[in-house]
Amino acid sequence: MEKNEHISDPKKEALIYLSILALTATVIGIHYLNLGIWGIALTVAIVSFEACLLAYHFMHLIHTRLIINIILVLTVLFFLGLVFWPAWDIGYSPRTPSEYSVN
Amino acid sequence: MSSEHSSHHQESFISKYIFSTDHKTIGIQYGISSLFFLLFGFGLMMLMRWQLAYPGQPLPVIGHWFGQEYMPGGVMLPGFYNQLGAMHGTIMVFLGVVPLGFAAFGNYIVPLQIGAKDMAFPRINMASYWLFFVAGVMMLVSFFLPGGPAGSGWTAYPPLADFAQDGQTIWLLGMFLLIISSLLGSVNFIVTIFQLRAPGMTFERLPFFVWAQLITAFLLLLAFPPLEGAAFMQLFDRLLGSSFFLPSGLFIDGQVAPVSGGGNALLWQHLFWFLGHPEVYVIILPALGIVTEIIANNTRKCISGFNYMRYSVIFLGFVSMIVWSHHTYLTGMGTSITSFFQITTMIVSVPSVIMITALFISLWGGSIRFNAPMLFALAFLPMFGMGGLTGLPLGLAATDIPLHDTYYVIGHFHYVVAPGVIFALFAGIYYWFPKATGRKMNEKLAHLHFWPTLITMNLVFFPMLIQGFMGMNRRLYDGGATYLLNADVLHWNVVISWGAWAMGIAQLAFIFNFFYSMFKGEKVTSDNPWEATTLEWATPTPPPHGNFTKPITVYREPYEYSIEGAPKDYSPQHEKNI
Amino acid sequence: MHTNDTEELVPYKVESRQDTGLYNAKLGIWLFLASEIMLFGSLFSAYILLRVGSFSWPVQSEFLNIPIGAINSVILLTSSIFIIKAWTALHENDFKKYKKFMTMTIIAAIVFLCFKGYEYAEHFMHHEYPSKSVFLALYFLLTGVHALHILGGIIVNAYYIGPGAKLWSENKKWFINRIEVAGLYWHFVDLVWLFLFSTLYLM
Repeated sequence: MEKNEHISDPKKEALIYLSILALTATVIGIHYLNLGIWGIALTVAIVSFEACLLAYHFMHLIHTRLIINIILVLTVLFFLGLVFWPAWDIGYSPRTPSEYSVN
Repeated sequence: MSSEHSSHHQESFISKYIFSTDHKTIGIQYGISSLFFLLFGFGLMMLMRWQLAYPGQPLPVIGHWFGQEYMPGGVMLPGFYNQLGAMHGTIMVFLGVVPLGFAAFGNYIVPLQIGAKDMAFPRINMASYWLFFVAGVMMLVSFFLPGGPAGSGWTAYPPLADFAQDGQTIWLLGMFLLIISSLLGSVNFIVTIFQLRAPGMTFERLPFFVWAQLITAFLLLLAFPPLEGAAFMQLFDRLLGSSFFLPSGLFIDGQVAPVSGGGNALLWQHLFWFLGHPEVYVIILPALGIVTEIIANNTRKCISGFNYMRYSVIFLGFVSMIVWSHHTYLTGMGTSITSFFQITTMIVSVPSVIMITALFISLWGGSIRFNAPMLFALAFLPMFGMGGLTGLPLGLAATDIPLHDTYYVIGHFHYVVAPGVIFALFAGIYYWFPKATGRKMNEKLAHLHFWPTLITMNLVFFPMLIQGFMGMNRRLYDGGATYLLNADVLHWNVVISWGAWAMGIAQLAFIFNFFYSMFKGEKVTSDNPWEATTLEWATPTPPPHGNFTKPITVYREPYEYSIEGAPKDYSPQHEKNI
Repeated sequence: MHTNDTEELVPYKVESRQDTGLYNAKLGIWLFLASEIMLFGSLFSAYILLRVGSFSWPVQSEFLNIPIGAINSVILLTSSIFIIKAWTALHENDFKKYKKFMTMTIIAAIVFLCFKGYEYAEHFMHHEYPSKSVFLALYFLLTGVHALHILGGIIVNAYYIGPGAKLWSENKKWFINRIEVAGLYWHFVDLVWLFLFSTLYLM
């Protein structure tokens, strides 16, 4: 087990639990506000933060060796890479003849 | 093959040889299975080569074994040609080369080389093998399905693959099992290498083979899941009628396809090649590892630039994950994304060049022993070099335009895999055979295997580069005869085919040698017949359950050959006082 | 079982290795979770690619029931707390308490699947199949793969209150490690649901 292992802190668990619930309620609220692309961006940001709370506190990532954190961050970066380039290309590629530029 | 001693109760035949959790037994199981699949895949190719050399001609005798569905009157149907091609690629890559290089050699050698008693998760290891085995059986059995096996290329591109025969579904399910097997295996390898190294075995002292396996395991871990996801999607398309990969307004057989549309065929290509490119490094890295071991041992000096090799292999692993779209240059991608992948593709060639150069330089001033393993390891260097260099025009988008999907591509990747990787794997078999069996393979037969194979490899694959330059398209069942532009290079098809069949005959020397030497080969007189420095030679021959008879501590780096002041020309890693 | 002989040869199953600070299964599960991130990542990336590249996209909340999705989020998050409490109970040497909380984790998971099943049934009744549209295909694929992972978790957790619970009497520390590993997997499945819910129901 890890050196500085704290086994349980019910207060902290409850705090994280309620925070994640509150944030989930927030994103549901954002949905009903119909903010378009900003709504999506905000939702992604908030849910990512919820995921970090879950990972770092419930999954004890905060107490885990750096190597695992590095592997996970790398994985997330690869995932973003996997998504970003093709999405950017598909999103900005001309799809009908009229969308091609003159030259 | 591993002898059990009475340190524990007698195991039944089943638990000792069939459902074994011993990494050495599992390694051998993978080895025998993958060698069989390599032979099978080779057979498929030899069949294809008849059609390419003599399109439309009945294949005497053998052609009549395949029945009306595949070869009526002994003449190969186009559909069957495609099926042979798809299964040749699939079986060679996923059931042949990778299981042999990564799983077979890895399982047998890695725990030994790090000084461990077994892998970290022995039962998961066993599960990995049996999943692989079932997947392999599924792939073979698909030949007997009505409609036959998958025939949409090993790349399984939709829309064709979405509408193809049932064999494609079996292919997808088989790949699914293979991917799970591979994922379990990669977790096992990484944990083993991190956690089970013997005292004194720091990362700097790991043999290069173990480094290569570590990076390979990471590549498999992170690159395979997207293909798993894509396989799910293609299964959905085929079985549930969804349109993940089917665009709106798709015409099939002259009518609008009865699907919802809204999908994108390129989605499959991106997901497939996200695995597909790291996959080729999965193929090459264990081979590089094996060759490094053998070159160090047979030059009796340490590897020049070993530090550079280590950094290179880590960097290579990294960068290989962000080059995949050089396989989709011709899909209508925009210039920015194309430039990005072109740049990363050029960058990824650098670490490979560094590693091959380091190995070449390591030969300088060495006391070279030309034994069987070394012959193959030496031949690997220029052959893999050829393959690598021929890849450069493919990696540059502009030059890829005339070369994409031609025989040039086939020549390129076969150079790296066949006289490249497979030579390294042969080298590994000749090298580690004495440790596993206590007998050496016959040197004369090894020469009989080596020289004809080397010559025929070049006879087969060099003309393909020429054909590709002239524009001959790949995956044409008539060998390009229909197209006028191929007229001047068509004759090479005959040369290539006869070269391939001769290559097949040359392998008989190896097959005979392999089985004969197991029982009648020259017995080795020491546990370390090659006088090597790495830990696998510090065990009894063959290694027992638990591998080492005494606790192992590591005192030095892996390739301490011909060190000044040392009594022998090699200083084993585990011997304290030299 | 004969195969235990090889298992006995392997160190660091219970105690951590000094230089890495980990026991084997812990490193193993994190690596596995990294591969799962790539798996769900590819499914999410398919969603993004298809949506970005589409001419028109249905209004998702017209097909999906947000209140049920929200309830499922609460259920799954609560089950995460339950499995933490189960693990904590083992540290307090209270096996009964562990069994209680692990059972509650499993029950919560089953309730989640029931709600999901109800949603699927509703879709099928309205002829909303994967073949109808790419959005529906993505919805069924993403939630289907996730549901399979929930099922896997249920099976593993059930094993550890069933036949697997024997290990507690043989080696307490080893059992605690197993539950920690199971818990990590379970939290991951919860984490994926957070993304699934917001992407499919709220965007």
